[in-house]
Order: sequence, then structure tokens, then C-alpha cells
Amino acid sequence: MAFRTKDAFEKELRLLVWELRDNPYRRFLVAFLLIWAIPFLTILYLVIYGGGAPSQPAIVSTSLILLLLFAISVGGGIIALRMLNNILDKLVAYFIRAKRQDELKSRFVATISHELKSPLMALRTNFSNLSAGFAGPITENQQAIVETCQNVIDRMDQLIVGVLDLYKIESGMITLNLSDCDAAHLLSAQQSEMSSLFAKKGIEVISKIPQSAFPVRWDGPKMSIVFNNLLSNALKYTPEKGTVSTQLESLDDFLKFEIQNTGEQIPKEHLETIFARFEKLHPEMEGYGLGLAISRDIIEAHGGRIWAESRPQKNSFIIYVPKEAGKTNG
Amino acid sequence: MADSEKNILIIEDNRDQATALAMYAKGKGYLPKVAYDTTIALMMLRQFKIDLVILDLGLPGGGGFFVLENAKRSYKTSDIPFVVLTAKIEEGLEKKAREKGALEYFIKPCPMEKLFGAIDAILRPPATN
Repeated sequence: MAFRTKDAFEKELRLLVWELRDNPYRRFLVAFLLIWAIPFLTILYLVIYGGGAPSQPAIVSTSLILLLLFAISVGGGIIALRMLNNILDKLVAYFIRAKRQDELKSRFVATISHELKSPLMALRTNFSNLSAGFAGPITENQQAIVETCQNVIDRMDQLIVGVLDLYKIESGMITLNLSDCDAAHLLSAQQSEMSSLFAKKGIEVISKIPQSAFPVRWDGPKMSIVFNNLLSNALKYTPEKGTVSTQLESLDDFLKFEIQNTGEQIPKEHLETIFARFEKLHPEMEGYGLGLAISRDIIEAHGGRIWAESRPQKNSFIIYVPKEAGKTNG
Repeated sequence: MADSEKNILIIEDNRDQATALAMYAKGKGYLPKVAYDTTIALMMLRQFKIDLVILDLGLPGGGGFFVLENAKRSYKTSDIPFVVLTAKIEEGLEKKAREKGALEYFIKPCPMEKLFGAIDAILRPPATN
């Protein structure tokens, strides 16, 4: 259970207490007393006035027995109500604990992000000062060293962002901000952003993305991360002069996206494990093995599926995502 | 007004970061000023002619939003463009900052070329015709 704001939590808690304690509690108490009081009073009335002329000891003993039964029942009822109260208290405690955990998670992410990213920014700015010559002239060798350091900063930043994204997704802190967007545009934008990198490696990109718009209701920025991750993987694992093909098609309520690349076949036994966090097919390759894990989390949050298939010298990643996130219609 | 006369106020509590940013801004031809907390920042905003603010959100003394809100409320400072530079990556923070009047929003550690590209576009827009 996660509450986004203090107000929402308190409102929910008040509602719960009213629902479970105030309202049914009183009704239960009144009903309980009525159930037992009415037959008791009726029998008492019959015993005293309806039975002709019963003997005095019989009336007294019957009344005493009924009184005893009534007392036992009332006692039992009070115990039952106390138990109900205890359950309610536990529920309230559970809600408070859930809220605290939610707050702790938010604080953890904020702290980690701040404590790790701030020093990186200070490093980056200082290296930029060196590189730009704002701290004095710099030699070619020094420039190369500074560039290496800046690349390390980039990689550390990617790692921090990846780990925090995963943490947020897995702890339910990431909510999808759905909006109307165009899937073809999201994909094309990522492709054109990376086109120079593909060209640099001599990779031919065959794109089968229709010109027409593909209206969807997704979290656009998060789905862009998925497309970017898959394209980056294709770039990394496709050998020079290889081919990458992308295809987007509409299938009823779903969109199917497939990215295929030439290159070393992913062994069958690794087709599933590559989606695990920090899993890399080739450990020597750049990256931290988080891209596919994050992609799967985002796709599943949209109500879709992603998997990999491989054939000799060819690998593909296939995604099915509902056009309206979360709506699968069976 | 010459570019060199454009004043940039850097509001940043991390002194290493603030000093490095100031050096970069100076290298790019701006006149940087630095404030390490919200009180000094608000005072400097009123006292000096500031052309642009680079604002960190995690500041002591009320946070960056406090500065942003105050600056946007005062007629003297409401037109000053704010560029947010933060290490916070909470959901909805960028939207909130933009709603409160921030023109640009960057997450640390963003490349300096990107940050100052945006600042240049605000303070040194390409001349029309």
C-alpha cells in the first residue's frame, strides 16, 4: 500500500476507521442488544404473566437462568467487540507502517540520488573547466585524460540512474504518467538520435515504421527509454557492417515492435536470463546489464510483454504493448 | 549590452560545485555571482541586476522552490529567467519547477555544453535577420 501524500493517507485512514469502527460498531452493538434483549424480555413477560399461576420459586429460578444467560452473552459480546477493536488497531498500525515505509523509500532514493549525483556534477564541471581551457592552457595528452575521466563520469551516472530506476520500479514508486502519444514518432525520434552512431559502425538500419501515426496511450518518456535501450543493445551487439531492422505494426488492441540484428546468436539458455538485472551476455561489453531489466519492468507496467528470440547469426527482441496501457481486453 | 555584462547568479550550496560553475560561466564570458543559501540568494536577487539564475533545488533554508516562488512574486525579480540544476530525480519535480516559472530544467551531472547551450539560448538569442 503506498500513499503519495500525507493528506491522501489521512483521508484513507479516517475513512477506514469510520467504515470499520464507528459505523458497523454501533450497529453491531445495537443489533446485539436487541437480539438478546427482545427474547429475554418476552420470555420474562410470559413467565410472569402468561403462565397462569406458576409457583414463585419457578419464576425466580427461570428468571435467574435467563439473566445468567443474558450476562454471559453480553460478556461474550464485549469480548468480541474488543477483539474487533484490536483488529482495527492492527489495521491502523499496518497503514501507518506502510506509509512510513513509503516515506523511507522516497527518502532513500532522494538521498542516494543527491549524494551520488552532486559530487559527479562537481567533477564534471571541473573537468569541463580543464577541457575548455578555463583553468589555463591544456596539452593534447591532458585533454585525452580529461575526456577519459568525463566518460567515466557518464558511465557512473548511467549506473546510478539505472539502479535508482530499477529500485523505483520494483518498490512501486514509479507510476505511469499516461498521455496520448504517437508510437511511430517515439520510435523514429530514438532512431534518428542514434542514426549517426549506427552509421559510424557501418551498420545498415532497415526501418519498417509506417509513416502514419500510431496513436497510443502510454507513458511516452518511459517507452522512449525502452526503445533507446533496445536500439543501444542492437548497436552494441551488431558487428561492423551488420544490419539492424526495426518493425512496428498494429494488431487489434496491441502494438507489436520487433528489432532484429545480425550478429552472434544468443544461446537459447540465455534468452531469459539476459532480462535479469546485472546480467550481461558478454561481461567485457560496456554497460551494466540493467537496460533489458528496466525495459521489461516498463513494458510489464504497461501491461505488455517482451522477449528475445534467436537464430544462427540473428537475434530479435519482440514487444507487445496494449495501445492503451494496462488495457488488454483478455 | 555586451555579453560580458550579463550577470548569472549561481545558487548552489555545494561550494566545490558553485566555484567550478562560476569558473565555467566566467570562461564563457558571463559575470557569475554565487549564493550558498536561500537568504543570501534572495538578498542578491534584490540587490544586483541579475540576468539569469542557475538554481539548485536542495538548498538549506527553505529549498530552491522557496527562492523561485519569492523571486516570481516580486515585480523586481519576476522576469529573471531561472534554470534549475538539481540532483533530485523525484517524479513530477520538473513539472512543478516549470509551473513555478523555471525556464529550463537539468539533472546533475548534465554536460556543461548542454547547460550553457540553454543559457546561451536565453541570454544570447541568435539575432533575427
